[in-house]
Amino acid sequence: MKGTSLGEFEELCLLAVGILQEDAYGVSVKEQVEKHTGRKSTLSTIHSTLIRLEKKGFLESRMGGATELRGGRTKRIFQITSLGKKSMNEARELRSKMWDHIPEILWEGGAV
Amino acid sequence: MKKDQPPKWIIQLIEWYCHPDYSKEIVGDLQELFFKWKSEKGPFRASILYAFNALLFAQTYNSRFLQNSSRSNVVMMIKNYFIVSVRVLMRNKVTSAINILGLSLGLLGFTYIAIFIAREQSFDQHHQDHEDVYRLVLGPLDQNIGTYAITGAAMAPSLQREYPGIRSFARFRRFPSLVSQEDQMFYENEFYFADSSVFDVFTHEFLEGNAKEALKEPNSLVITESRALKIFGSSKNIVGKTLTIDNQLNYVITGVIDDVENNSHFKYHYLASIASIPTHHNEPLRTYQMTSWYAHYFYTFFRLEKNADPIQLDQQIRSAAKYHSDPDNYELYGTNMGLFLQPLSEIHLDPLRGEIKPQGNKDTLSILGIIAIVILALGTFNYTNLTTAQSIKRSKEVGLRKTLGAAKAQLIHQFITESVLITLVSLGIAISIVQLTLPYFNNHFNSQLAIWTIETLPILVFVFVCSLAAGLFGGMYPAFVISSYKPIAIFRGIQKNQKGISFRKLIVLAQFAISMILISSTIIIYQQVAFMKNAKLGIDTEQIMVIPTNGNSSINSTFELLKERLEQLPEVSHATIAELTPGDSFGGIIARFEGMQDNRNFPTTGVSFDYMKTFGLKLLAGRDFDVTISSDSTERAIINETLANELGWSPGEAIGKSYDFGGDNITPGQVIGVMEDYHFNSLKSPIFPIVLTIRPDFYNKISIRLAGGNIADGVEKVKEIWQSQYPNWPFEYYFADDHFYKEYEAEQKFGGLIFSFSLMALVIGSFGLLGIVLIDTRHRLKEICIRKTLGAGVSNILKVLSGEYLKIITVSIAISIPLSALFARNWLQDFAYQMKSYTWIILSAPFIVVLVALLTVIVLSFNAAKINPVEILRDE
Repeated sequence: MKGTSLGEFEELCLLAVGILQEDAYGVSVKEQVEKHTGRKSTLSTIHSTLIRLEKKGFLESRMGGATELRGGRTKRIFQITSLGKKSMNEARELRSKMWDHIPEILWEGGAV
Repeated sequence: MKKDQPPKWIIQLIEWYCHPDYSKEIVGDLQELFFKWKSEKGPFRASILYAFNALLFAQTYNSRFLQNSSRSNVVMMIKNYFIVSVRVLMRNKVTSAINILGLSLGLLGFTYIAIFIAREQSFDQHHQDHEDVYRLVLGPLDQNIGTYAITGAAMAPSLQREYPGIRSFARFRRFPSLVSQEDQMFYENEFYFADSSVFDVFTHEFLEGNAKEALKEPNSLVITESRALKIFGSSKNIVGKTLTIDNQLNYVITGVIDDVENNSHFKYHYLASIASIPTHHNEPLRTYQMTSWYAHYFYTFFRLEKNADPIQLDQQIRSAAKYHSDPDNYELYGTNMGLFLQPLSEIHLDPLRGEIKPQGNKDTLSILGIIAIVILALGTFNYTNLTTAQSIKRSKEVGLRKTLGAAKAQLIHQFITESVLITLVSLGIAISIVQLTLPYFNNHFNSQLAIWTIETLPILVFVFVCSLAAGLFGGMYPAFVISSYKPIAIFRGIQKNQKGISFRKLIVLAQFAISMILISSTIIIYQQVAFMKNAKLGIDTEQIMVIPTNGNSSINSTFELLKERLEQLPEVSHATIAELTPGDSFGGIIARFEGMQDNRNFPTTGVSFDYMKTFGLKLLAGRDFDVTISSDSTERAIINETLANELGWSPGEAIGKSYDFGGDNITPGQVIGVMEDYHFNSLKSPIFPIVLTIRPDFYNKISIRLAGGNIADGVEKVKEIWQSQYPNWPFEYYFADDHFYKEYEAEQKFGGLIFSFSLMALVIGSFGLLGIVLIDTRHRLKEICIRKTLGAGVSNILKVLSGEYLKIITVSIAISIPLSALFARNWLQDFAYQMKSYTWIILSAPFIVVLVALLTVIVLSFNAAKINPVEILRDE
């Protein structure tokens, strides 16, 4: 079970990779996550999460895109696998299903 | 260029640590971020952020060392040991708490002592090439050892001329002075005159000015940064300003230096050029002091050449005193004194007579070192003891592990891992407590200890290693005991281990004996200090206020007027001016009394009229100095009884005897009075011969005896008169008895330290006992209940339960008494006057420990004895 579930931060990283498409690597994922959530995150957190997602089979990676700025070092570029897409969808569906079960009166009354 | 790139060593660190699969992208990503930060926040913060983020990559998933190892057997087993340890700790909350508290206390004491000792040993070692710096000291030739720290000004230049190997010298002469600038006035005690080469001997950073030139010219002055801030509110643009010294002379500031480190054996805040000494009050006297080999007023330091041989030089200068005096003079001054070199770094722990301020003490350090080890051992013993006692509880776990194939070595590993874990937790607690209590400790003991500095880093590593070792040793014995259980015996229910219990008794015994020794030592130290403080001195130091004049000629010369005005006050009974007040250290003067063949050095102090009245000294024969007899001012002396006895005179016989001051047949004198003996210095030293003469050149301190009960009133009146007569001199004073009692400060502090540690030892010992009794009564619950059902009363049960401990306590008393006596005898040897009898202390101190121990045992046993047998035996 532990191996296939998707944590909140993991989900955010997956979404960021999805947004970035061809340009998803450490720094850009960090920037995306920070931009959308407004939370600060460290590079090591992002990196370890991405590697974990790869180990779980939700991401795959290849090396490429060395630039002068990076001192000629290659990037690890991530891509969502079909398993990754599946679990993202599942997570989304799970949420909307659960949303549907919240009685509307709760919202209308506003008395939570 | 360097700042444009992220720090290289961090990149290397990442590449070394990270798995090669990841290191490229990590370094690349970090570098990208670095440039982003640099443009946003500047290169400095970018570097810090870079380092911080790089550090966060120290994780297991990307390590080249830990890849796939999480599945290996060793890692799994360590994980399991860890989990089991935590569970065991949580299950036995009371014994775990006792264990950890005991160890923490032990480590607390150990850490404190370790940083204290390290600090004491670090003195004067911050100077560049400090191993080449030596102090010139004096000592008797026949003893072949330097004993006196103060030397003559003429020595250093001639020695440098005549012996190769002396690169430079620095002479210091202290003059506490009044420093004023516009309307500000400060009495400064750390005011020295020094050679211009001082900065070659002692390393200083010049915030302004220049080391080579600063003290070349007369009337130039170098001040420290803190004094610049105090006077000018800034440490910039100070050079060129002038300060007035003693309302008399202007000195130009030529340099501002960083402050003298706290771990220096003396501190200076002002350094004036030595060439100006003659102009500093009383010119003929100062000129004599600057040129004479025999006037000892200076501290002299040498920096030797790198290739010089200090041992050889030390030998060579030994007889320089002889060589430098013309033959007549040498005989005349009878000087059997030789010159010696003392390494700079040894001064603090090997102080001589005449040090500027109290220094450390090697003996204290070794006693503390022993205590540190003892305290740590006590905590470790506790652990060993409790774990062994509890081992029976864990025998089933051991049996199971063995049945499943655990080797003995693995079990030993497990238990040692556990004890090391507990030690580390305790160390964490101990260090946190040190961190929290250090300010109070520093405040109380007036020390400047710190814990997180570069200097203490080796100490912390040392403490860490020691606690690891303690954990290892503490865990060793239980580990071997537990791992040697045979599974079959365990599951059959045979659990008694006779050998373990006797070892445990031994430990409890040792703990008690140590606590007892420490407590009786504490009481002995306190009693001795109290004895010395309460002893009759023969000189009255109460209700005497002392105003230092520091040899200031403008005050000294007008003192008679002040005295007259003061003595008109009903609040003042007498006033006098003198060289020294009780508790100061004596200088000596060469003299020859009637009937003596050779000259000798006699402790002599310059006084004025009414000195004896002010300090309440009593005459045995003869008369006091009389202001109306003019010869009294130059060639008359009053001696004490000890001196008369030494010369073989009764007090009556001594009167009228002649003496030759300086032993040069020039200044003949006469003894006019013999005083009853009194303690001028602490009771640590015996009463020595004393000569009083009238010598205005040496006046340093005004002493005023206040009459009547209202001291505050008296001080106020004296202040009014002072301010009207000397409006330009601040009114600063202290009380003579406070000053005198300062001599006992070291003993009092030492007593306080020993007291804290004996308390610690007692608490650790009681914790240990508490744990042992707790476990023991639990094991014997069934026995107790059976005894009760068979008719034993609570008192019977108490006797059974505590009987064993009573035996242990008795034996530990027997061991502690001779050892305490040994300490008492050795420690008290340093005091010339010892308290009358300390037998009762040594005999009664152990009972404080006995009381605590019995209380522990009885309370716990009582709880056990009260238990209802039905509750325990129900299941049988």
